Amino acid sequence: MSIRLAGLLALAASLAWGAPKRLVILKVDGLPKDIVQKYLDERDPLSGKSRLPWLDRIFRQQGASVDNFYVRGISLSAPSWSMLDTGRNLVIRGNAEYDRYTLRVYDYLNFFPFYVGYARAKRADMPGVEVLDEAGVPLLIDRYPSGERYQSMQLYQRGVSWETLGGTLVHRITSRTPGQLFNEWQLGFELGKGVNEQVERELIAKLADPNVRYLDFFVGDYDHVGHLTNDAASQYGVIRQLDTLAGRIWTAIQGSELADQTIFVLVSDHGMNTDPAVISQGYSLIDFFGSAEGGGHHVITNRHPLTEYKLKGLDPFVSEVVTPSAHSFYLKDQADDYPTALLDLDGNERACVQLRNNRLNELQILLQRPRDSRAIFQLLDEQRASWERTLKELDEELGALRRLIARLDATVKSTSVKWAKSHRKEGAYLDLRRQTAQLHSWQEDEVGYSAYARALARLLRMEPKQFESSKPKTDELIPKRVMGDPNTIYDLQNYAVGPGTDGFRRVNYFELITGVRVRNNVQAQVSSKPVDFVAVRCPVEAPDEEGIWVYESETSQALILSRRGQSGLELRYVPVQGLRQDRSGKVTYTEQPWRDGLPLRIFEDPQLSVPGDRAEWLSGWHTDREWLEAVHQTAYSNAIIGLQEELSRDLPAPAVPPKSADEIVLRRFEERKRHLAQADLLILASNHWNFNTRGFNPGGNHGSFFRISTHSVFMLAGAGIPEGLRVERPYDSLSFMPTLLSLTGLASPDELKRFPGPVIDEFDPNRHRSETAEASLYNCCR
Amino acid sequence: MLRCGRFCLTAIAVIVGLFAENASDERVRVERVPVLGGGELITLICQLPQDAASGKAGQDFPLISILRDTMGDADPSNDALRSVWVLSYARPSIFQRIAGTLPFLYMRAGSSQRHDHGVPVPIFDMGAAGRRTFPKVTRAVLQSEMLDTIGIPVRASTRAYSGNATDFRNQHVWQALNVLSSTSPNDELSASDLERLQARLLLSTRMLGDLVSESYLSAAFNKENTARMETRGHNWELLRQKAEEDGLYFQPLSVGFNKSAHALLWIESHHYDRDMPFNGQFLSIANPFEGNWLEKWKGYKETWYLDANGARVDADIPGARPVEMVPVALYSLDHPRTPLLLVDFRRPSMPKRREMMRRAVDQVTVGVLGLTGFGNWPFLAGNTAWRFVRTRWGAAMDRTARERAYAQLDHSLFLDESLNPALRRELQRRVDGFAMNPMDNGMAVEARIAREQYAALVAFAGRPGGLEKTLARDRSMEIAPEVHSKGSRAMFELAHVATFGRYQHTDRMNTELLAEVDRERRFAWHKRFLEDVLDSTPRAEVAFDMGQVQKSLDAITEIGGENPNLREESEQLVRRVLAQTSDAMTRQRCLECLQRLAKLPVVSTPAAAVSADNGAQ
Repeated sequence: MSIRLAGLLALAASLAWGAPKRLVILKVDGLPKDIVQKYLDERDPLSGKSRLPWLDRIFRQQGASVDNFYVRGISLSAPSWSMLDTGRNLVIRGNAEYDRYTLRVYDYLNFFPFYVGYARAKRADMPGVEVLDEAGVPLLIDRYPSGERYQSMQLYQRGVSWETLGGTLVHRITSRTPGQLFNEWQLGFELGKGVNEQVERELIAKLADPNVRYLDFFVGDYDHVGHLTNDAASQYGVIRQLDTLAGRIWTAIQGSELADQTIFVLVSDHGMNTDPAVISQGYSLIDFFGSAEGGGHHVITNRHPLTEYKLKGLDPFVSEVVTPSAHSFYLKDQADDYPTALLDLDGNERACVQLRNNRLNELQILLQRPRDSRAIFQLLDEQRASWERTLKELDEELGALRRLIARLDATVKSTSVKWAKSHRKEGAYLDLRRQTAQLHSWQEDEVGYSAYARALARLLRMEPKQFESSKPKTDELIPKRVMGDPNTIYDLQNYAVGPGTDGFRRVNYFELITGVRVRNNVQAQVSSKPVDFVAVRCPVEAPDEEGIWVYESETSQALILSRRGQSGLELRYVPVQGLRQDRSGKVTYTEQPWRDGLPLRIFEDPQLSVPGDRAEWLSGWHTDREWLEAVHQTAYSNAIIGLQEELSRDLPAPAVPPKSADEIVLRRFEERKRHLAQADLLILASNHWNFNTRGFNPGGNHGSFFRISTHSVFMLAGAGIPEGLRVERPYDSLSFMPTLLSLTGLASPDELKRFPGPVIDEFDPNRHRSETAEASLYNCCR
Repeated sequence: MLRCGRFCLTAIAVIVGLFAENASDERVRVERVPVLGGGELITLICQLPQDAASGKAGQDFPLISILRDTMGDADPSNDALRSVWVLSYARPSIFQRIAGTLPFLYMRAGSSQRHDHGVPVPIFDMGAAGRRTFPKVTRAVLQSEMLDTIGIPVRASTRAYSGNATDFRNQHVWQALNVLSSTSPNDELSASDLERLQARLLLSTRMLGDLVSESYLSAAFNKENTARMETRGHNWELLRQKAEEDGLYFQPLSVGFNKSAHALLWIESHHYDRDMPFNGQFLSIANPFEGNWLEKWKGYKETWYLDANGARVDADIPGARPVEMVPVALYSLDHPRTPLLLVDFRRPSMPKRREMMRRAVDQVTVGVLGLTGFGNWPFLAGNTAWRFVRTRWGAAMDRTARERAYAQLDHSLFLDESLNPALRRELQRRVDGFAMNPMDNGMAVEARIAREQYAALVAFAGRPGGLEKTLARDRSMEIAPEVHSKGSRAMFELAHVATFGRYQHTDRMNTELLAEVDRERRFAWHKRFLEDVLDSTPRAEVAFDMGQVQKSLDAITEIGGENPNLREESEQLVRRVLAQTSDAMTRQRCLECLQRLAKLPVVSTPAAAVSADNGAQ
């Protein structure tokens, strides 16, 4: 599939509409717009210039800036860059994701396994790219043939440039005099800086090659420092270095042959909730879920808690760590076999939680008491229809997958030849590696899902007579290392954590999590409540609508409804209270009028911008565009859109639609895998709180919908970009790629319309010219 | 292009000064004393808090003096920072020196009656930092190649002495950094001066740190500052979370000039949960919920008000209950990786015993057994592995960092007036008991010594042949590369070392030599500015005031014209500026400067001026 896709994209690139322009993108991880704006506006008393003189010169004086550019979805690197790099809705929703059926970990941030896999010819792309490829979602870089692009090291990286790594080591030494090396040794060498220097060196060299039409440079320094310290001087130091880097790139662009055809872009994936006066406080959800009150879960995370204090923390390949609970009520000492909670805590202002399916818990607890065989079969009968349907569908999907694996295996084997070193950078070689990686991935899925299907079948085959002769072995019936189907709201409100007086000891996670309070809170600006709210998908009656339930307390709740209308996505916020779901799935709640103190604090926010009566406007259906314009300046910015984006089960349509029967079934399998990687619970931290357990992030965090975390940087300069333009109208990540495609002439107007996000048409030179002409005429007439 | 990371930091150095959050304490004032011969003595003086110094409240505590050579004019471009005195740093007495040679002696040997009216010894010379390296390296080589081979008594005692002497000096460097890091830029000390001072002092604690180039000082300062702020925030949060986990209460403390560099852990004295699980990792204290120490506690207590969740609230909050709180431990938040236990209220002697044990192990392995790192590879490998694992697990293995933490707390407590006086006294008493260096005098004695030394220094500054002579000597050393060959300078250096520093070659500074010093300094100043401009931005006019750039171009052109040795360098700089600017006026100025440099006649060298009027002192 990826070969066909690449071919189409290359063809599209070669048949570009209009004169395609060169694109140079400076990608900065976590750079907050507000902080950049502050320094842009401040004057250096010594020079009288902006404190960020190059960004001021390039993007404010000679270029344009989107002043209200937001992350759509969660303000987290992997999801956010995926949206910027594809222009499509979310496929990847966290920095780490887990498949509920197989516990396969999608560890999007870990470079080490990728580099080693690449060296062993088993991988071709970073894990995020592999997932997007499987979902049929192309990247911006795919628009350019491999010889016309230069990509730096980043999350959505295709291939590895060993020359960059090799050059880093060599140039780190050869570009310095012995004196400089001595000085740097005394101050402490920094390898990361060496990599950046090498990438810069290569990028500037590539700018001299007119055949290279796409170049990017990913910088993660600000995000790193912003997490570690809220010290304004330290953060400014990094931003100032970035400013100078932009200056050097811009100067090189100006000196290049394609200077007048080059667009230079500065973009960040999210902001950073950092305040020089406040230290971000951490709360450990691992400890919470492992505690007796939290359910005594054995918890899986993608990294070791307190990594820096463990020898195991030095293992760069780790993607799964089990933290056993000493308080488990029915799975004591079975942490490796029966982990029951999966946490993705990255970004740290939010956590994605997947808990083992409540019915599996109940079944396992009942199996530990074989006298309750009637209850066991009652439970099995309750699940039978759903599990049989799953089993039937899995059977079809695995059949199609096996046929696909056989075909691909034959292709890979037939094309596996010894490649000459000189040919190892060519597209065909990388495509073969890509196919090999794809084959391994599908084989892994086939093994995992087959095992799950067998376990499900075993459960469904279970009969009462098995209980008559001997006690059935729990571990033969309950699949190990499986989370099962996602939990419903009922499950999460009545989660079985162990045997209890009336059958089960149950926990209501909504009340429990939002009820957490801490004693050690020494900052007046920080509340003693680490959790702001919890959000989950909620079934709604209308078949064409999706619902998201936002729970802050028993009396402060909301339902965010979404549907596809004539003009695209439409959303509605319904204040509710007392929402409950019964075991059959029926949801009940009481609507309440708009008032202060509801989740997301929209109603009382002075920055809310709606025409007429607030309550009236807020009670209606509005498109995502209308919501964005109304709420983007509020404390929670575009949370209402972001929550829908993060929790929706919708996936972007593949670039190449499935045609054959197998392709259609495999598409369903792909959708299943993505749904199984989604969270049961999305937990959002209160302001200046974080859930980091890997270490400590006192400087700042992101991941929430607070405006400071979602407000990102998008600035442009160069060919065709109006000078001095400041776009006030709000836009989000979905507009990034179509806007660049429009500006570079790489997509037709028809294709641009198929993107879910609008093109930022303020950059349209025709529109700008006509507006300027209008303004001139107006001034003349005055 | 690729050096820009470093130079960018240099360029922003001054701007970073604007972020100085530790606004100078109002009790600190700067005194400027003119020095004969064209200099000034800048001194930071703190007024002691009301109950410090044994009841002598409100007395001055002169902290640091810095000699600035101004060449007798108001032009800042020919100024040079030279000697730095930490005024509480005095030569150890004979008795202290002897005590310092005794291994396993971990106590203060200074006398409370000690006075020092002599002219103080500078702790550092900003203008000749590298000169300290040769003696340091020589001492290290002598120690390992000669003294260590003589036998256990010599090895153990010489190592004990050098360790104590180094610690004693470093202790005062940390104190100086304590003061300077919380000093805001002022008329006497610019942001750049403060950064360079701090960077040099910090580097002076490392074996080869004095050799770091001037152009890297800003980077060194910024790196240190960022690392310190990261560590402080990290430890702050680690300790807060540990307190939460272990049922204790966390309170960040600002002691003296240090904002939030320390933290106290507290425990409820009566209503605590005796079954509370306690995990002492990172805290280095015994389970405070065990035993009956709280019932017997007679020390400092505070009354707090807690809400129903146990969080501290104001007394007037409805439902707030008063609770008696007892301090458990005080930590430094500046220690790398983990907070460092400085005061254990339950077992006061524990931190000192732990430190004594660490040092004793070092002295046994190195001083007694002679197991030095590079002399015994298996020991080096084992020791390195052991230290790595222990550090990884959060143990405080960095002796320098520990010493710095103790020195800074001692100093900060002495100057503090923000803490509750009773708590401060309690802390001072416990920190005072921690003293381990025989050369240490204690803060109260050092404050008196500082006053005496400052008085002596001020007198020395105004005396003909006093600091005036120091200035002349420094200038002579500065100009030496211009007037003496490399061979001659090597001979002078050899004589200096051979006479244990008693001989110091000094040229008599006549008008021409003074003019040359002036030229060299102005050239260096403008060159540094222009290099910062060129290395920190690809186009000068975007980030810098081009008026200043043009002034510097004029200055280096003029100096290059006066000194043929600098002409080529001037020309190269002008050409680089020309290549890196599009500003029409500056480009025009560059061309004019190049023309002027090309037309200049050859002038005589400064060496000629020396031959006429030379002398050694």
